[in-house]
Amino acid sequence: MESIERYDENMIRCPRVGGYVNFKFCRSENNLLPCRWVTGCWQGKIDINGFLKEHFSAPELEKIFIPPKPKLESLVELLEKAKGTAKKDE
Amino acid sequence: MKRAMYFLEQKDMPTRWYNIQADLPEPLPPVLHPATGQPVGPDDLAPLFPMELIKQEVSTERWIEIPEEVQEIYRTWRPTVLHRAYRLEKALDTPAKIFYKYEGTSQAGSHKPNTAVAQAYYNMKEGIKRLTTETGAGQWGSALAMGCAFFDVELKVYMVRISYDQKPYRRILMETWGANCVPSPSPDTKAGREMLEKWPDCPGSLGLAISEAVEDAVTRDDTHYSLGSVLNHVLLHQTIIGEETRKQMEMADAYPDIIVGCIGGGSNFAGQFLPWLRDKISGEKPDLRVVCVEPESCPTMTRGIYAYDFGDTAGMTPLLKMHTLGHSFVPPPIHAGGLRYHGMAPIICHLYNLGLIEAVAAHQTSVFEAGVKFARTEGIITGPEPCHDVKVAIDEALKCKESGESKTILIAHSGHGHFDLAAYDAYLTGKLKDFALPEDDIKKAQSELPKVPG
Ligand SMILES: Cc1ncc(COP(=O)(O)O)c(C=O)c1O
Repeated sequence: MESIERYDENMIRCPRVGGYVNFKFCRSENNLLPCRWVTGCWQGKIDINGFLKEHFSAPELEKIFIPPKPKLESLVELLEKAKGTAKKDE
Repeated sequence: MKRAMYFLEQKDMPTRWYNIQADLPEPLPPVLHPATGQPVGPDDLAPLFPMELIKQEVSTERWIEIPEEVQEIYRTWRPTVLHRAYRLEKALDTPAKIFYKYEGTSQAGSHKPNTAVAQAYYNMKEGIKRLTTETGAGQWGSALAMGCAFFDVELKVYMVRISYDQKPYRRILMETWGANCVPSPSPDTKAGREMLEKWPDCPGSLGLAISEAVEDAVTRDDTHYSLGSVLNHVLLHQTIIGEETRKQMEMADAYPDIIVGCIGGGSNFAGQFLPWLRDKISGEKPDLRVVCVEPESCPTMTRGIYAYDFGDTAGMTPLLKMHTLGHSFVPPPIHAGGLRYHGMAPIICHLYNLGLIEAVAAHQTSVFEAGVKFARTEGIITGPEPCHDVKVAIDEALKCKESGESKTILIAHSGHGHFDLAAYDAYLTGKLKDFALPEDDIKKAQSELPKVPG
């Protein structure tokens, strides 16, 4: 197995963030998993599909690529989670 | 004399926002609570938003009065000018008439203050002392910072750390307007601390910044959260753009055949086209064309299919209608940050599904080519997102040249690109690459969607 860090220094412009980022960012920005858009961004630049298969399990890949929820639903979900956090901290 | 600008007197600025929900042929599908499966109600949202905005989110009143205090602030830059693009028309040698409504003259340089000011106001009225939000490159964060400054509301902006480090100018705007802008992950929230423990040098992400902003708002009684696009109330506040334009087009003795605009979360373009669309819905202007422009690399609308979203893999979340390209769809990179979101405003998806609006996709190189043409004819350095509209307006004008028709094209120009010059530089130095998702990849992604009857 090749090192997970082997492409880390490669740079790309990230349209979501609006600036240049390295591959390390792209492979870990999604709560330490790769960004959902990583394959599109890196296609043709590195063997991104091979990289993902090599370093991530099938359930992890599923988790990465599920489509985002409608905004209001995802906000309610975050809100419920944050309420839980506040209660536990009391 | 050829008139190139149409000014509206301040006293003639519209005093009501237009709510399309009153005129929809079918109502919007409800949003369901992820835990209960029941429609989300006002109480569910109360920790995040003031009641007035929650009411606006679901309101079916056609007109909503713009509070006098908000109008007063709007008048610091509104009404914005409607331009006739004579020089562009001449360069294209087209018989088409091209107009553009330019939102780049707001103090923050885009349409975003139209909702930022309103949101800051309603929160202040409800006794909220502090707002939180997230920002990527800082366009929304800076607009909200300005809105909050006008109403003495404190603002904390969680800015994705990698942008915070790399893009100081928008951060400096935010701080000048009085906001507290921190890099996300921050030590100020549990979500941030957890990430910093795992990875002290974490460069952040938009998702994490949203989590931090929501957590901060939910855990403090004096604080709410604010969002700059997608939601119905945000689109509503933007309709001041289209309501003004209607009056200005009347001054020009013109009515648009085609309205074009870029769609990120959809707020600017909806703000322009919704006030016109009521003429199409009523049957008065059945031929009016509304064209949403999105990047070829992220074809949410143009190639998306209407399917039931299966939520998470464990099947725990309720099935919701939305546009989706399937879970393996991954759009390639483009330079227009705001256009990259997979999720679109529900109102726009709904109108698209009803066949009332169209969508087209544009390649990013051609988009910047259009931006440069616009700069060299009209003078304005267009933001990467509205360069999409300019591109499609040019295409339509060239079609008129071929057919000899003199159509009236209206561009919803959302802002300038003064903080996006690196993207222009990449185009001018030949570093921009176009990515078009191969048809096979789209088909494969769509075939992986769960099949749901209906
Ligand atoms: C100038 C400009 N136009 C358009 C957009 C896209 O957003 P929306 O579709 O909500 O107007 C953005 C987003 O940041 C923007 O900054």
